[in-house]
Amino acid sequence: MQRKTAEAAPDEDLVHRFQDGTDRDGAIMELFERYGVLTHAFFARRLGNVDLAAELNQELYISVIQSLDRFRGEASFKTWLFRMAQNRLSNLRRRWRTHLDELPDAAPETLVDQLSDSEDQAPDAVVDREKVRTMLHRCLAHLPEIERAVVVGLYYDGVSLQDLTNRFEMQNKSGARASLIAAQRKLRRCLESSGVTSVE
Amino acid sequence: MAKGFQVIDGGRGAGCGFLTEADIEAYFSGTLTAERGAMFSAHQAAGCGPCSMFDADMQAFRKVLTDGALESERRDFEASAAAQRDALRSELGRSAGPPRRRIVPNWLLSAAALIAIVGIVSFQFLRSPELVHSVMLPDGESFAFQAPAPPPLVRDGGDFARGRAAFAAREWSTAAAAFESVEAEDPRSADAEFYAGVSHLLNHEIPLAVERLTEARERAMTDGVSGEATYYLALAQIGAGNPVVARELLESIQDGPGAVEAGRLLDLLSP
Repeated sequence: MQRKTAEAAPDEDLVHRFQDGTDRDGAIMELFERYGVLTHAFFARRLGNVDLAAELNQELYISVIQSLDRFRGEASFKTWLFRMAQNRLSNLRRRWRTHLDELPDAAPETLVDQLSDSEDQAPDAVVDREKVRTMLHRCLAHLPEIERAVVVGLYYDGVSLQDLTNRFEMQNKSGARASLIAAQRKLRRCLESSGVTSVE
Repeated sequence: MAKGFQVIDGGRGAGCGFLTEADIEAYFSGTLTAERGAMFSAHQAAGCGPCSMFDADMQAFRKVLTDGALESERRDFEASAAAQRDALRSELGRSAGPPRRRIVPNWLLSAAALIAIVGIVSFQFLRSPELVHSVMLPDGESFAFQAPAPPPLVRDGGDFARGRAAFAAREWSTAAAAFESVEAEDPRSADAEFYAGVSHLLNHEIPLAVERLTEARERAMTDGVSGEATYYLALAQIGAGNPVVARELLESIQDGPGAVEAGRLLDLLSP
């Protein structure tokens, strides 16, 4: 791989080099070296699974090769790349049926109970169940995909933890339970920071 | 709304139609106005689930752009980076660039074309794993598309798991047969129907693909998630020489998976 000693070319120059055909391969590989690790980290954080992140990252840059000729520069390359990456996530969510717009508006009582009855909370803690219910969707959105899939499967669809472990081919010893515990912790933290539950 | 920018997805994409490209651009550069941010926040609070997902994705993307990847994330990336680079080089070798100024003699171009044809035919015979597929549009141009991601494993063992493994390994014929068997056992399995149809499509068995994907689409419509099945059915209809039917199908996709690709394909099919 060639390494530049001079200042790196702006993204837009690389896009032009690709689009005008002067150096398609070099431009793409340089964009990958520039953003590949960042988009991979983005996928890994949003998915909670490194192997899946690598898969989607590869798909993303193949899509970039296929679509970059149509990039018109109305937004920056970074924004365009985000849209492409986000679209891949969205497709995966549809396939896994974890997209929030496919869930009922009201969170199941069992989930609200579980999150309201935090062990960390004082017995007289103030819990507004209606607000918990409202905030829950926003908090669920921030969970890594695997953890959200486990919460949705267990609480919304009534799938057992064992079946979820099999469904997502979880290799770790505790299977889906580990993801569930991590998800509950994050959801409680999210609800507390939103001010809808209180530990005081 | 900023001039010259489109509304995100315009009712076709991931489902958050609130933000504009300019908003996202401003968000990533840290210049989104407080007023606009508050409006987006209120919009989410009103119960827009897709926008909450989009917001969470935006936040994660900005954080990684701003702070960079962690050392552990860099190591994770490097573990698969070589394979990813190889896949990109392979794709670059396959994809055609824009027309260039001719600097080689005609006889050399003809020879190269002949070698390419022989290569493609050999490739078909060898059945190498394909990442990208294509259908021929009425104007003679080819439209490249990708296979959907394999389904999550919903059964431990059995035909669905076999189909899933074959699909992931891009063994379309084996996958189609396995998913067909699932369907025979469980006529309500829309996923099996969908993946059987897609496997037939990728295996160039167009009539079977049309049949299975039509079924899959009808079943998926009852769940309100028919976009992906509709998209692949449209591709199969193009393969079957029915561009008008394909156009109607694509026009029916309003949102969800396949919507962005559907819009792109619709543009190419429109007179």
